[in-house]
Amino acid sequence: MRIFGKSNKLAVKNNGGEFISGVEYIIKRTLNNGISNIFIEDNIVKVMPEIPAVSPLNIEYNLDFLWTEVYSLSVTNRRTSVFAYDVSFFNYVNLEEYFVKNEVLTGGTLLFLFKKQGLKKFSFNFKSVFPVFNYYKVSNFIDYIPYYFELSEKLKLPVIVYLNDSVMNEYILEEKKEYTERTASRPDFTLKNLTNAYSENTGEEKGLIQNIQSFKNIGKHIEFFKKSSESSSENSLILTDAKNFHRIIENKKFSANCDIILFYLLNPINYFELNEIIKDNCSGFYKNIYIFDSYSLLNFKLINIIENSKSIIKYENLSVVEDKNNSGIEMGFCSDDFEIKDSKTPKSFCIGCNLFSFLTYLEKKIGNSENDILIGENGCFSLLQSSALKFSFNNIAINDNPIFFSYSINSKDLNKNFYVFISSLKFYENIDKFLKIYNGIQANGRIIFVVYKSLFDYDFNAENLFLNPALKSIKKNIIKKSYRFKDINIAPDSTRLIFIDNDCFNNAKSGRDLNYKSYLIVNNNVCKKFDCRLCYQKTKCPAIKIDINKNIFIEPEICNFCKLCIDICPHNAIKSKKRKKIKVKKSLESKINL
Amino acid sequence: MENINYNLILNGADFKEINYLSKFLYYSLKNENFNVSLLIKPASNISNYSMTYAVIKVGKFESISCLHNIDAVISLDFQSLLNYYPFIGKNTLLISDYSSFNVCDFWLTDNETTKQKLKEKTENIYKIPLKNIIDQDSMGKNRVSSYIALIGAFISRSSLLDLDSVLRQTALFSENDALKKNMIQTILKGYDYVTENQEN
Repeated sequence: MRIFGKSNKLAVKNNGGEFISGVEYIIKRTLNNGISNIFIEDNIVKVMPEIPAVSPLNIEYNLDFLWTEVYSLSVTNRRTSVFAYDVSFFNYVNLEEYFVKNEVLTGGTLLFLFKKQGLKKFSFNFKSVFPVFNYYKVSNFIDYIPYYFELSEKLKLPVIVYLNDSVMNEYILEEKKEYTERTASRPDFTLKNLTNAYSENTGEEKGLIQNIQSFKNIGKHIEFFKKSSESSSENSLILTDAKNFHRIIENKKFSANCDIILFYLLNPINYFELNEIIKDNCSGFYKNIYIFDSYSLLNFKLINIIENSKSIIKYENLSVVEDKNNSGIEMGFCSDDFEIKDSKTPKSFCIGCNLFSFLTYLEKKIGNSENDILIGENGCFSLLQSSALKFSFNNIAINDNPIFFSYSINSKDLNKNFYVFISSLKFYENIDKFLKIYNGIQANGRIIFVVYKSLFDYDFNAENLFLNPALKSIKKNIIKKSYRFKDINIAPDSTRLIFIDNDCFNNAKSGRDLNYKSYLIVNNNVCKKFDCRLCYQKTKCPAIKIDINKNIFIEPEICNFCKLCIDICPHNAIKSKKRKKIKVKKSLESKINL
Repeated sequence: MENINYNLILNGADFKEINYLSKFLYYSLKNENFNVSLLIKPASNISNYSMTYAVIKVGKFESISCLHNIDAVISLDFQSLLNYYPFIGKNTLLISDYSSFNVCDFWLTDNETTKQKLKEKTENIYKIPLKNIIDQDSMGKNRVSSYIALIGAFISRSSLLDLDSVLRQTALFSENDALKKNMIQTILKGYDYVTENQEN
């Protein structure tokens, strides 16, 4: 798309011989999204008299009346868009009562606000309530418009697109392109409507559908299916999560004649349940099977199930799809092509202790941890709790005494790398057995013992273990608080010991260190509407807690400030802040010794 | 040294907090010439999240079987009181924080159902909204955790300890005078809240 200025002599005219102004172009594109009403402020029409030629329009003169009408339409679940100056929006007296405090709103409204000169950007308090997007050019945001409508329906709030005044002077040559925007005749694809329709069609209860839904995209409309009896070799199967679902449906080319199965990944399912569901729903022959899993929760379960049940599900290609941009909300809505990769392991992580940073370091050094085997002790908190680590490693085993892992090794596994996590007390008790294994290793891969101080032996002194004469001949590293992982050099083909002298809990700021400098804030206006609680489910972080009013907050005393929850939150609801210094006035009470 | 059969349990998810609070109680009980023994245990997978608890026995410590006759429970989560549900008798004291809850527990049970279940066993339930009572921001540089106020509530309801002996104990735990002042104020706030709102 090219943009031409008014003064530009090289600007090419349309077939009709006229330029299209930027505002008019926005209106044309918004009309395709099932909108029943468009409001334009009177002052904008005075500046640009060409606009009233586009229909249907409602031009309002009384500004207070405009906002009340927008509010009443948003209650009745109709899509509207408003073009106005920001001055008229900020001067609106009852703004808080209508838009902020009200919980009746159903959303579906887009506010295009044009910036008047002299006003600064939105303040933080305002941004915390409304989703606001800043733009300077039409071409930057024009493709995201249908996505913003869906976002406002999900959030049940009006979405604000904040535009520079220069958009008024932009003139655009209209190009013929096949856009995948929906027309007014199509049904709404919001998840709420789909679940209602699904329960009406199949007669099942709503509670049962929470985990999984299945769809079929037949050209113009979507059908629900239970068993794919008609599946032929041209069909393909798509397994998606809720984040990518609308993007797949809007892509005609990609999802034509496909069986689509939607997972609400917010309720992770058991392995056996999932096995039964997939065998019931997707038996047949497929050309391609795509797995869209943006949070990598069910990724490996699904691949294992599909590969194991080859007699029922037959396919040519199985592939995991990753997004091009990981920028969250600002993803391209109409992009025709996704980046398709082979099934690979995603990043692995653990809760905020040393093991997490250690594993990320190893990934950078070694590369993919596809075939690696992780063996951990029963007592380790981080191994037990982090479900994410379980998903990221294919082979994970947790034993009471991990030194005995060597008896369970098959002959096939000899080429793989082993990571054995043991607490220092248990390692100290079994040093003789460890030396036997160390001397008798003939594997091609290497074995790395990681010995850490755990919660269970907090009185144990790890330095005595390090100075033990039995371990003199073995290559070993010790990691203390001041050390960095960069300083360690791990040779590629060697077995070795690594001591982590830190406590798992020493690293975490808790209890006595109450003078935190920075802390995390959860925006509950956004968080409550989704109610996903992914931040807790993925990390099991003890710092994430809940109020009586069901507001989620993060306790700064326990918080480690590892910022994992910020990365996980798909709605950007968590933000970090710095604490201001509070100057306490010296009163008489502080001077008196108690 | 006196020997009384009294079993106290400190219950919560955070390990360091319980380690700190239990030592606080342990030394203040020893100051009053009680024969005290302490046991800190991490109990994993009780309710799907890691939980640690401390058993404080006033009297001779024979075995862990003292769990069966609990006299008082101080817990940082309200809903995890249900873990001790079979061991709660008629006269047991239940003191808990009622401002922040664990997310996982919030799915499993509501607050009201736990309230009804616990009321079947005892009537000595004290729910203290710590975050409403105590302003941590006003403490300035020398902050003190708000859970200390639970101990103040425990002192007022049980006849075990005197206030003065516990306040004297704060000298061990505090380095500055400002810290000492904050500690005493939080204990007193918990003490006052229970005495004002006797029927909870």
